Amino acid sequence: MKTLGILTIAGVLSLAPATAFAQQATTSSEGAQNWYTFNGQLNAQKYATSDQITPDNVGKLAKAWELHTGDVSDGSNPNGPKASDWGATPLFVNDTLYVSTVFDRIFALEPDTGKVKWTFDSKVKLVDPTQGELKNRGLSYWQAATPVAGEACQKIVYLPTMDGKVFAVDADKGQPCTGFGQNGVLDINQWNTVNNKWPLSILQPPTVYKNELIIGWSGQDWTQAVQPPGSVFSVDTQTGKLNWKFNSIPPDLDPKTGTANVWSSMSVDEKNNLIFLPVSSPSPDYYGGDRTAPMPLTTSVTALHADTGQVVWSYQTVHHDIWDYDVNSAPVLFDMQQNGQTVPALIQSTKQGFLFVLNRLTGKSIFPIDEKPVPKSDIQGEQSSPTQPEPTTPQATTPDQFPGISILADIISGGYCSRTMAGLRYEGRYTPPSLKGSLAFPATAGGIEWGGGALDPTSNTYIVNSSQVAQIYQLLSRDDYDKVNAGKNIEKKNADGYFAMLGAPYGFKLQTFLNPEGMPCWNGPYGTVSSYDLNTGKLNWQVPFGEVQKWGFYMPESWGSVTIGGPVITKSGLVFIGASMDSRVRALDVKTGKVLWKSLVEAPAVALPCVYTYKGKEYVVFAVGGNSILEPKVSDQLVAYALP
Amino acid sequence: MTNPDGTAGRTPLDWGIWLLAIAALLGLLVIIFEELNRANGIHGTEGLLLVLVSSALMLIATLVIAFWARAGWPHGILAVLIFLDIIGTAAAAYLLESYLLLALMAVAFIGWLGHLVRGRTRRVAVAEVAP
Repeated sequence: MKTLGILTIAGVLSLAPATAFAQQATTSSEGAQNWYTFNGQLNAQKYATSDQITPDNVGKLAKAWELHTGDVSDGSNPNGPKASDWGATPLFVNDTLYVSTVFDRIFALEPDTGKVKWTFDSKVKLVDPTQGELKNRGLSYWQAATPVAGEACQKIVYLPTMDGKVFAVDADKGQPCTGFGQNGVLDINQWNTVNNKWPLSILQPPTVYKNELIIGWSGQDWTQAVQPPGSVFSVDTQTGKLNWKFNSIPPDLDPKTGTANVWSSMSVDEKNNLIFLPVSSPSPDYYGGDRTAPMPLTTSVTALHADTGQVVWSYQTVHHDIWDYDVNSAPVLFDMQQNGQTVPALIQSTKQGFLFVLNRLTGKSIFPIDEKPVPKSDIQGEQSSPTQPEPTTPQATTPDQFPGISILADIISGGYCSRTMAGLRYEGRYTPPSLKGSLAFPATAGGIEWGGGALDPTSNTYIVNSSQVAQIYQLLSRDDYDKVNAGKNIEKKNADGYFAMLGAPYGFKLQTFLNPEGMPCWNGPYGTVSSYDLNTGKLNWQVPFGEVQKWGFYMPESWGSVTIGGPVITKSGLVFIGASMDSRVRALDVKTGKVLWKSLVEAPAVALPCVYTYKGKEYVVFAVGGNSILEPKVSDQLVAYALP
Repeated sequence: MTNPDGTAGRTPLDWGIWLLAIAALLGLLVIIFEELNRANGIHGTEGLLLVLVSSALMLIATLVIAFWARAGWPHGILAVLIFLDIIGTAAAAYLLESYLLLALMAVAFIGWLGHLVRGRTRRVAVAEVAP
């Protein structure tokens, strides 16, 4: 962990509050409750102060309006766009609902009817340089501190694209803000100058804070060993001019590694002028023998000074990551009540299901975190870390040990599951990848994914969905890798779970531990929702969440479902969440986790819901796009629910 | 007038077999509706196809009993197959969360029971009047 010390913190604390600059949430009608960032608020709490929909009346919730954007692709047309993976959280601000699509368009909608006010088409070529799918997770919004009436681009919506561009569009008219970047477009690939093996993509909406647009990017850290080093750019919201740049990898290590980028959302402590980055793992994902030098900012939660991009502190959640355990969601900021004192805190969820609760000014752990001995790698050249940090409080969302072979899956497959398990290396959490194959549980598929958790700041109740997925990590010698993949192009290799890691001595095979019939070889539940009291760190409840559907048949609710996406909490005591494989959206009781309402939508709704109040009525909106990790279903449905 | 089983007089209505037939027919209609409704989560799935076939077979077997196989071993085999069909379709309906179809299978089961009870009563009555 790197801490710059008390002086830095004192300096941070002395900065002017954010309200002196631009802000994001005040231009809607009086009484409206906005949802102005990907996470609802800059502190990533995903908390709605709306209280019209309550546990008592949520059963009456009905569809208020629905829109199909037309921007969807199942990827079946070889000459058409690739499959879409739409996870865009709509924004409600400026009395308008804004949503972006996988075809890089913006829809501005009437919040109460879904009627289109205007659309903006970026007209970018629908390419996918890094992800294998067309992805979009939403927009960002900025407005001047005192918008001048009639003047263009006093309020701006920003559209990120897969080819690394950011479009700035007037939020009232839908016209390009030509003063931003080049005629309204900023291309971050102009700064992709080190190890530029592929163009940078932007899936996640940039973070707007004061007059800064803070931009992370996505790549593909599984294809090559040496890749673009993880960078975050802060640009001026009106001009696109670069303010500062953050790098997670020491420049002298650029010839050996890369990525450790920030591909998911960030959070901001407005009072203390801090930006919090969830930093992913370095490349290549599963072999670290060529990158053994310390890289303390990789696989970390890192706090930056918002004005300069200087590191204030960083906490590494995985040392020498060889499991692709990216820190993948914005830390949730909150004020903890402990021994009669208020402690500025954050909670960082991880793919392993760990919950790190840290002092957000210093990065020091608030609850105990053990530095536990972990199994050693048996791969020649690899130098796995002898220990890894494991929080003991709050307890992880995932079990500490592999939950055992599913008897049903084993019987149906004629013993395939148990036979396979017998041939794998498994010594608990952090079993390193091996040549014979290692069982990873939890694996890179989660744990907790990029939706993160939600927090009720009135009680410091934290709600988070989590998956329990077992995967097989197998390193292949370069010769073996080439033999198995002879004649395949890179997309086919990726689709088959073979990751090249070119430049490293090994290739890699990633395989979810399923039997030949497609059933999970491990015991469920496969997904849960958990509630914690963050003042004490205690688990309030944990329930299986969602349902698995196969051939149309729903499996028992006690099995739960793998989830992608996340929850939001409302003041009235409800959790709204899509995320599950069964294409349903649900409302849960915050106190018990009981499902109080559910509705079927066209595909898994992996986007975070958006909750807002407009003209005295509360709406819950889900963008229903699907996700190939869950189901091969896609959709372009945007659906709003309200009380009749 | 002579009945097919050799008893004399007007045959009392076999309400059970007709209740079973109606339940199977309505079940088939429910499934067709589910297949046409794209927004139900089970449209176009293998599971729905399975219950479509099983309900159709149930209806056919029921009609065969109603019109042709009222006694003897064909009746016995069909009755057993219909029972298995009801159980299987009900289980599939439960897993498909098609609760209307599940309710109709409950009705079909009542009809199946009614048919058996009536058949047994009739056989006892025939035995009592026989020399």
